[in-house]
Amino acid sequence: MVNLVTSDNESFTVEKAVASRSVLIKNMLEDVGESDQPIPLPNVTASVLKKVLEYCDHHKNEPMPTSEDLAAEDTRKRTTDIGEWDQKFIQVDQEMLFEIILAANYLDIKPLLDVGCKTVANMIKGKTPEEIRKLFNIVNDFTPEEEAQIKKENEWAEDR
Amino acid sequence: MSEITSAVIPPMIQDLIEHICLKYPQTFAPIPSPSILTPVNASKLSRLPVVQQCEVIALACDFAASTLYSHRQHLLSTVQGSHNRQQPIYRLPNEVFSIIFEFANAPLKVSHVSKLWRQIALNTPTLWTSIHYLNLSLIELFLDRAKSAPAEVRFHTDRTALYSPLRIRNDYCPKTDAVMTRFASTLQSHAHHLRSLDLECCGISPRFFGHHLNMAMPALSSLSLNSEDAHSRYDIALREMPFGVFEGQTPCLRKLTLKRLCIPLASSIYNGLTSICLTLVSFINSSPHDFTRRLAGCPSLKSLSLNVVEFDEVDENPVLQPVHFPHLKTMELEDLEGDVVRDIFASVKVPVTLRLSLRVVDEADSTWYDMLPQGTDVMGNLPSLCAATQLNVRCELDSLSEVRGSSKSSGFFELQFCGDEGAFSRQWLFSLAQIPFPMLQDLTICNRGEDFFDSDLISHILGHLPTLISLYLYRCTAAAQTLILSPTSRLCPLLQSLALDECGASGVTAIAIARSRSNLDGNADHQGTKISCLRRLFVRNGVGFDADVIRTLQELPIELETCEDPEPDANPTA
Repeated sequence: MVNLVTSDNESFTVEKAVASRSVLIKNMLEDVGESDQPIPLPNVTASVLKKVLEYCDHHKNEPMPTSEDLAAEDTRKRTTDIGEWDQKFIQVDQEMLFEIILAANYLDIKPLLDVGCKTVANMIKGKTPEEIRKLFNIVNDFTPEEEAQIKKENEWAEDR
Repeated sequence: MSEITSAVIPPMIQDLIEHICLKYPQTFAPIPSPSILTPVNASKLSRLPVVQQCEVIALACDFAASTLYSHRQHLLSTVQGSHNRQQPIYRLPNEVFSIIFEFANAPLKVSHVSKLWRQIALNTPTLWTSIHYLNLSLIELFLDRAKSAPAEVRFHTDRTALYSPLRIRNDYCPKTDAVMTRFASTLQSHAHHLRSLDLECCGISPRFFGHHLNMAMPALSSLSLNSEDAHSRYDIALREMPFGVFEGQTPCLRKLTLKRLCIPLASSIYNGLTSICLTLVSFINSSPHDFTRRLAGCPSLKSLSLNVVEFDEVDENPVLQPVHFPHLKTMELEDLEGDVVRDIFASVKVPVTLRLSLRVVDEADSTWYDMLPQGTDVMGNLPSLCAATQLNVRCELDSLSEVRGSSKSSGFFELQFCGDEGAFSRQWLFSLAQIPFPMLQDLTICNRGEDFFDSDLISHILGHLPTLISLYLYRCTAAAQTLILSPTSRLCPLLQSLALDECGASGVTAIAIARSRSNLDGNADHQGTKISCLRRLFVRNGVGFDADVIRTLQELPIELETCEDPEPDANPTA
C-alpha cells in the first residue's frame, strides 16, 4: 500500500497498482524502494486527488501507455472519442475539470490528461470564438493590430 | 504642408496626452514619448496662415483622436487580459492548452479567442500542419506557422476553370497557370517539411502541372495528383508529367495516387513505394511487364490498385521470372483490358494471404481462360486464388455476377464481372473451372438474376471441384437433376451437406439424391475415388414434398430439413 498526502494535509492509503498509474508516483516509488514514508503531493488537494484516484482505481488493470502508443500520438490526437465510463467520470463542473487536468499533468497520468483535454476540446468544437469566450468567461483582449490581422485571416478562410 | 504638419502635430499630441493624463491621473498612466515626438517650437504654428493653421489643427485632432483610441484599446486589452487571467481555464499551463488545441483541431478558431490562446496556438507548430484551404494566403500562413513540423497540404485549383471560355484543347488556362505559379512558389520554401501532398488541378495539362512541381521533397511520404479535366481535354502525351518531376527526389515517398495523369515509369518516384493507386492512367512506350518489372523497386509493396490503366505496348515474350511481392496485402484491378490483367498475373508472384479484387466490364473475349497466365504455374503466381476454401458465386438481376473466395490463411478474392447479357456472365462462370481450387470445401451459388445455371454449367463447375464438402444452391433449377444424373464419383464425391433453396426440386428428386449419396457401401468407388456419404439435406420450397416423401427421406441416414414459405396472400384484407 502507498500513503499519499495532499496539499491540504489529508492522507490517502491506496494500492500500489492504483498509485502507480501516476508515472510521477511510480518513479518515486522505484527511487525510494520499499518504504512506509508518505508521499507528499503539494500540488493536489484532497477533493481532486479523490477523483484522480477513482480514475486510477477503475483503470488499474489496463496496460500502461507504451512508447509505441506515444509514437502513434499523431493519429490519436485526431479523435476526441471518450469511453463511456470516462465520460461519466469527467462530468464535473469546469473548475473541477481544470483541477483534474492540472493534477493529471502534475502526476503524469497521460490517459487522464487526454480525457480532460478531449473534454475541453469537445466543449470548444462547433463553437465560434465568441461562444468559446462566453463558455469560459473570458473576454476579447486583442489589440487593434491583432484584430485587424484576425479579420484578414477570417476573410481568407471564407474564400472557399 | 506635410513637413509643417509632422513638425507641429507631435508636440500637440504630446501636450494633449499629458493634459489628459494630468487631469485623470487615476485612469491614465503617463505615456512615454514616442520617438516621433520631437520638441518643436510651438510658435511655428502661429506663423502659418490662418487657413493652414485650421487645417493643421483639424489633422491634429484626427490624429489625436485615433492615437488616443488606439492607446485606449491597448489599455483595454491589458485590463481584459488581466480579467482573463483570473478565470479558471487560464490556470492550465501552456503545454496543456497545446494538447487541447490539437484535439480541437481548429487552429484558426482557437487563435481568434484571446491573446493568450493566440500566442499558444501560434507557438504550437503541429496545430498548423493539416492544410486544406483554397486561399493561397491562408496556405502560406499555415505553412509558416507549421515551421518545420511535417505538413499535409491538400489543394485544388479553381474548378470553375473547367467551365471557362478557355475550355479548349490547349495546354493551360492562364488563370490556373497563375494560381499554380503562386502555389508552387509558396511550396518551394516549405518543400522540405511536406509529408503529404494532395493536388487536384484543372485547366492545365499534367505536363505543365508537372513543371510547377519542379522541387525536391525529401520528407514527402504520401502524394496524390489528379488532373480533373486531363482525360477529356489533353492528348496522351500531354497527360504525362515530366520525367524529372520533384527533381526526382522523393526518397521517403511510400504512397502514390495518380488520377488521369501519368508519371513515366523511368521516374525514381516509383522507388520504395508501399501503396500504389492509379486511375485512368495511360503509360506511353510501356507494357504491363515494364510496369511490374518497375515495381520490383518496391519490394515492400502492400497495396496495388489499378483502375482503367492502359499500356501502349504489348509483351510478346513470356515472363522468365515473375516479380515477387511477399508483403502485398491487397490487389485491386478494375476495368482493365483482359490482356493487361493476364500480363500482370503472369508477371507477379503474390502471397497466399493476398486480398484480390478483380472487376471486369463486358468485353467480348475476356474470360478467366484468357486472363489467367498461359503456361505459367497459376498456383505458384496466384496462390491466394487457389487456396480458397470457400467460394460464393452470386448473380444479380442487374447482370452483375460476383465470385468471392476466402481461405483459411486470411487470403480473399472477389471477382466481379458485369455484362449486358447473361451470356457474358455464363461464359465467365464457365471459365471459373480454369482456376484450380484444390482446397475448396464450401460452395454457394446464389442466383438472383437470369437462370442460366443449366445442367451443362452446373456440371462443368461442380465437375472441377472434387474436394467440395458443402454445397448451397439458390435458384439453380437444373442443379438437382444434374446431381442425380451424374455419377457420385464424378460430381462432388465428398459432398456431405447439400442445400437446394428454391431450386424447384421435387420430392422424388430429393429422394433419388439422398438414396444415391447415402447408401454408399464403401469409402471409395471401383476406380479408387474416395467417396463420402451425404449427411445433411436442406430443401426449401420444394415441389411435392408430401407426407410420404418426408417419411421416406426420414428413413434414410441423413439429417433432413425442409421448409415451405407461406404463399403470398392474394388479398391481405380478406
